[in-house]
Amino acid sequence: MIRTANIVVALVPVAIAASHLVSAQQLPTTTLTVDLANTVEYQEDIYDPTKFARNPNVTPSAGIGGAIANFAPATLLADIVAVNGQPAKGLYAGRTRDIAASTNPMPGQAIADVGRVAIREHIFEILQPDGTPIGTIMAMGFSGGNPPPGQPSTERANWAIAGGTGAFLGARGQVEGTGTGGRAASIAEDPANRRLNGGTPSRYILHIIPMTTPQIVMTANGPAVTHSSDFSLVSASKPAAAGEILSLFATGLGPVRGVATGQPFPSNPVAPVNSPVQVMVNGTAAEVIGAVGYPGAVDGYQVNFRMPSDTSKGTATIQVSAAWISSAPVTIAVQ
Amino acid sequence: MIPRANVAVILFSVAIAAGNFASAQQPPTVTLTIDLGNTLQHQAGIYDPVKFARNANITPSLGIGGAGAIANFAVATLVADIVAVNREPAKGLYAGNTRVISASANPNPGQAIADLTREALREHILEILQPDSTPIGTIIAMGFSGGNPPPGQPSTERANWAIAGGTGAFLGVRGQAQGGTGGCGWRAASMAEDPRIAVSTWVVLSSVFCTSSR
Repeated sequence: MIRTANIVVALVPVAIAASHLVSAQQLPTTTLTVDLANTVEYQEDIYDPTKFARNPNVTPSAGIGGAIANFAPATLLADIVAVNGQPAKGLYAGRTRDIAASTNPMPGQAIADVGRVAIREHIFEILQPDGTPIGTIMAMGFSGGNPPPGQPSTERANWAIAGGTGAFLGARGQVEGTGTGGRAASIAEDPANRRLNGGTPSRYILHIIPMTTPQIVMTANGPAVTHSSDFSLVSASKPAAAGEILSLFATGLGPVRGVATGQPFPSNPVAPVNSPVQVMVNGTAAEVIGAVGYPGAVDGYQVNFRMPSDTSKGTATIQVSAAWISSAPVTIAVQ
Repeated sequence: MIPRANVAVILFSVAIAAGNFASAQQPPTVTLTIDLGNTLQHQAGIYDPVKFARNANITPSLGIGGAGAIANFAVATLVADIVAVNREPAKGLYAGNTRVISASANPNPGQAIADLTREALREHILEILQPDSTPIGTIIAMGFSGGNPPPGQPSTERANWAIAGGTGAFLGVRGQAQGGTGGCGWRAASMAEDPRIAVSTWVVLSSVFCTSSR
């Protein structure tokens, strides 16, 4: 045990070191709130696979923890309907194996030092509302029990993000959710009728540590934000104006359409950024006119946007995001 | 949409910015082309586990989807030999763990309604050895079989798999995987079939291309 006196003394000599803690390696985290609809958990309550998915009607499960004491597998399916409150499409699929771990188990439950309900994999494949794919996030861990240390949640689960593809290639992080598995159906129920038979809404919150994040390019004379009229840099001597169309140059916006990651971006025609791109000016969404891969670059992008008409004179902070993953802010002059 | 004229001007006017793209964060990527032999998919067409892996003869599966006896939600275990990595001889074990979902925007009875097409959830484990059986490392991946490749993947392969991690030489890797056949071309055996007969009976080559970065 550390004595209190030691702590008091320590505060003085390490003041210099402490000032450097601000610049420590805390990884940037992006939070995605993913809303699901028609969530159904198809529980493997029958053992004849030729009867799986054959019944078109609502077919209640025999119940895990009920007729099935433990170790039952289940498959979860749901529609992704929104991300961070914005409409989206996509597929959520989960795969569960119950373990019913407890420090005080009932018969059929598993004795353990912690309480956990099941082992689960998650896959979130997120599309734009028009069906354009954005990316996929894969996660795994325990359902039930306490959240892991440091997770900003009281949610009763413990899931790590194991990876991703598309806009989320190489992602890490953790997941919290409602902890519910949706309507419990028998695996005999036909999943073609999931939307007709209905399921429950649910929500997962994904705390993503992306492999790369958007960055607005910095030049020797400031951030690479230009006037679209002549592509001169926005500067104190030539500031931006409210309502003006600007171009910013960034890295880390992810895949462009029709080009494999790592290949140079084409010039004729230019390739649009695949993910939804947003530019925030002083925290307000600006109109994004276009976002493309910079011709010849493999990780360079141009984004044209219009400064909001009510932007105040002085300075403005600019941030760009792709697939909800945001850059650090830069500051430009506004007249 | 950015007008073409603007883009042409940009090429000259923002050379300062373009020069800085060279210092972008694109992570280093390594591509492993992994060839498999003796690929076999053991489908759980029977439900009595005491009969698993007992039949010494070739034992076809009942079939999943289509004209198969199992409409959906079937499980399968995939097993294969690793025979080469980047065209150099290698040894090792490939194992996969699948749960079929048959997701489609226009499902037939028994398939799952969804906004997109995906065939199954699958985990992959690729444990790679040198030809003398010295262990090199293992790559673990997971995701969806079937459907379109994810944005940016250098492939037309019909799957969506992320590399979740690795051990040994691949400790902590991440990336994505694409497959030559996605497992669809693998011989479908019943889970009743003894997996020991696979090596002497079938030689099927397929490839799993793993793109990983640390």
